[in-house]
Amino acid sequence: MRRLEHYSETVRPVGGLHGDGARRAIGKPDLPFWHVVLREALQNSWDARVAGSIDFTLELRHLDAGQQSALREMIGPTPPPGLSELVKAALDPAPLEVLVIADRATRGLGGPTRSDVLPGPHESTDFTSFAFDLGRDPSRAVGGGTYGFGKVVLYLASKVSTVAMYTQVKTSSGQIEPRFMILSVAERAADSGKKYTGRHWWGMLNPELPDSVVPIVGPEARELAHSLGMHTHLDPTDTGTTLAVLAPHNPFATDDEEEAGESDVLSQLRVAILKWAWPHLATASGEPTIHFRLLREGHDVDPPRISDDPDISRFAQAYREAEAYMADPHHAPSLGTDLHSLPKNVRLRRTGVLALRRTVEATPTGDQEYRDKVALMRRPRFVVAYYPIPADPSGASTAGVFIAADDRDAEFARQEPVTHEAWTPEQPGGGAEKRPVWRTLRDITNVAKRDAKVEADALSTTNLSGVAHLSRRLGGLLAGILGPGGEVQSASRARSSGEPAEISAFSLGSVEWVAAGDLVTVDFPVTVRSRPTTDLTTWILTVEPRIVLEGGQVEEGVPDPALATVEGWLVDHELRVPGPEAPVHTLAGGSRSADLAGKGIAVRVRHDPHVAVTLTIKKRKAS
Amino acid sequence: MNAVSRGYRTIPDRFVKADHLTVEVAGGPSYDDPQYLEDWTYYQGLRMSVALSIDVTEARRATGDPTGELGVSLAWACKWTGLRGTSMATPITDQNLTVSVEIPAGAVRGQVQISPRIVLLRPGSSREQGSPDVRGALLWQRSEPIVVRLEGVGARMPIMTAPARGEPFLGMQGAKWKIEIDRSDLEMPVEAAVRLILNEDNPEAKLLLEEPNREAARAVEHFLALDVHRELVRAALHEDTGIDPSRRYPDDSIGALLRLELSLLGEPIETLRILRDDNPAQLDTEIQGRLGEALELP
Repeated sequence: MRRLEHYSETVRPVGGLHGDGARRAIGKPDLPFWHVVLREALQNSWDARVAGSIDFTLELRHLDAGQQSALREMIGPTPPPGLSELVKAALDPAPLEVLVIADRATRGLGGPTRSDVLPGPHESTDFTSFAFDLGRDPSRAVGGGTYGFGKVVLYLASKVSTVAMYTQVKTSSGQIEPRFMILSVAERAADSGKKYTGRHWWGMLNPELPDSVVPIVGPEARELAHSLGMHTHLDPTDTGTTLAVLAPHNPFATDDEEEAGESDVLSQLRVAILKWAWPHLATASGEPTIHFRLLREGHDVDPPRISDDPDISRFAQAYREAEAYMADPHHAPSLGTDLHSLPKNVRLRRTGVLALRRTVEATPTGDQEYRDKVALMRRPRFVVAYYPIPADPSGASTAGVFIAADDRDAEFARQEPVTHEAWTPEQPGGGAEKRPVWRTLRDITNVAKRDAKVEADALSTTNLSGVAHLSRRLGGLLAGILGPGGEVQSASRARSSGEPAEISAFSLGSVEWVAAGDLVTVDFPVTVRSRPTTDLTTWILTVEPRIVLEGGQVEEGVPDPALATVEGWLVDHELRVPGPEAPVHTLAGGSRSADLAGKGIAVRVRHDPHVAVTLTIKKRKAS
Repeated sequence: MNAVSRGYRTIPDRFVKADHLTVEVAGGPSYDDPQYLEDWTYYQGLRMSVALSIDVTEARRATGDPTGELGVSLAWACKWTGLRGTSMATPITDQNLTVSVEIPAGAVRGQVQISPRIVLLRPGSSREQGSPDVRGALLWQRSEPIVVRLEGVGARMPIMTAPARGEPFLGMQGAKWKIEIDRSDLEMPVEAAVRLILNEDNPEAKLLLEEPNREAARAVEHFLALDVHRELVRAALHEDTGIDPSRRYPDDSIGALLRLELSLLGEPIETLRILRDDNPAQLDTEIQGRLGEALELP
């Protein structure tokens, strides 16, 4: 087996980020440590998906003798500064335990293998982001995880601060390229008068670039993965990533926990999947979007299922309702579920939807951890946190789900800490629109509280008249505030359209029957109004018949003359102007200005008796 | 509505008068020829009635069917809800008659249009050419529908009632009312942010609802109004509310209302907070003096 070339990063004259700084960036999470590990790994895998679903495998096992020997060969006998534990563990005759985290149907860690090389226009920087960069690159899209500081949990999870990485990526030519590397993020150390950052890599050195290391690529990389048993989760044609955390442990374990051992790591990861990733098992189609597989020493362990936990089942029901409501605002919720679009103030831009599902338990079951909580989530559909809401006074238990609107995803993502375990409200200032997270969390509490106080549906509907009367009387207290009271018309409706038009003409009222034959003849009454100052000689009116459809709508366009035709304009039942067009002053008996109201103007129309006809009247100035 | 020729003889407007509308609110008052309804809620049904005066002989003659049977019906339509309906057609047996239609609760809001119609119930035996011969043929309808405004922009206190045995009066059966003010979003409409819940089992609250014009009811209403002012001021002064007296809030928002309450008290918010903490009785007196109205009993 090939010995890999080793590179330890030295502290540069101007300092820089070092391993223990990155490790401390995580802090001591509020969540159980293995939950943090699961969330970070799973979110990064999901962000790298190439289609609608991925495979995600967790395997806890010990290296066999051949694999342990291969590892020894790879890292060599000389411990890098500050990493003597690694070599000691590899040399130890006791088999080394590894936690394998593998994803498939993801794109793998592709892109350039050096951080100083600009990626191509459509090339990712997944490899350098994982292997070299610490902290979030703002140019990367915000996903569930961003390979910022969060990935450091993987090194924290290794007693020897080391992770072996094997990935298969598709190159621009469509070929599958295997890549292998071993990486450490440990404490700072000094050796032979040199200071080291604590970051170490095993791969291939470039003699022309002294401060660089790149992964082993190609068939040799797959052979290296094979020698550690890391190849089994990816067929040669797959893309994806397999990580092996060497000597997994919980760095935050108390002495008692340390003594009790970490034999239950896989069980804790299983619980974590169900707690944080259940939305991927609760799809409307029933087909999971993440296919989980758990293995212990090569043997399958039952994967988590929604039905394993009645509390999670209730969240899943609320989630399906919220998803349906998000897709269709007219979705009718099932019994016991309330759906809300937040914020309740519809003038503000939507931040997301909230589903609250209440159930009454005769005897509370399970632990109370999930009681009266809202599962907060955004686009990656992992639960960010379980947000507490006021208890229902009737004693019902509430399980809720809030899903951030897709177009607000980045705003919510920005408010997540390194480990994505909360939404931190924005600092005050800038108004409600600029603080969507703050407002949303408050809205969730208020909606839950309001619903819990008095259900509108439960309110009495007796005395409605008394209520309406009192509501109007007390409306006087709300001086200047608009309400729905009918006694005041809205300004826009009450407003006059301004000065009357110079001339207007319309046909209202009932038509006068004239004659029947193959066609019927009727007179349409026409009212013409003008201002006293209007010069009637400058105006011409034109009428056109229109067919009225069954529902009362008027057909566009002039109908065929066989269906309807205008005979002419009448004044006091006498034909004054033949045809559809009439100079207004002719209707006025030659007067330049006259009051035409009540002049007995009509338009005679002949039409097919099988159609209903109305008129449109147009006016224009004579040229 | 524009004049329409339907291809058969119809009844000219001069033979029909339909101008008088009566509106009865379910469980509430009646209105004659109202332009708007003063005390109506979306949860109350309406009965609309229109009195018609028809020159029956001339109307029949105009249709060219002197023995045809005519009927009258009332149609309603609401653009706000997109719903419409029509009453059953009643045979015309008299020159003067009234036709009514029931509009169920929840079917209308904003404004409702009422259109009386005359239709052909049964063609007669001796008809002239062009006479209608299809049952249900529309012979006349009012050229302009009668419009009644149900909602406008008049201020309304959001009020609900609840029984004493449930929330929010559980354990406080003697309470007359509860005033809830949501201060979480000052741009929220008052309609959503303020709620007055009356204990419908409390005799004084019942009096307010059932006999509002009685002297005792007016007195209770007076103290209720003061209580509302007190709660609004208290909400405005609460540090968590974050009201900014110099800011302009949306016209119908809780922020605008709270700001108005403070401005009517005529003191800077800091002064009012000191008064609230050091001398609440004095603040209460200020509220009574500046925001309350004199109790005028008949």
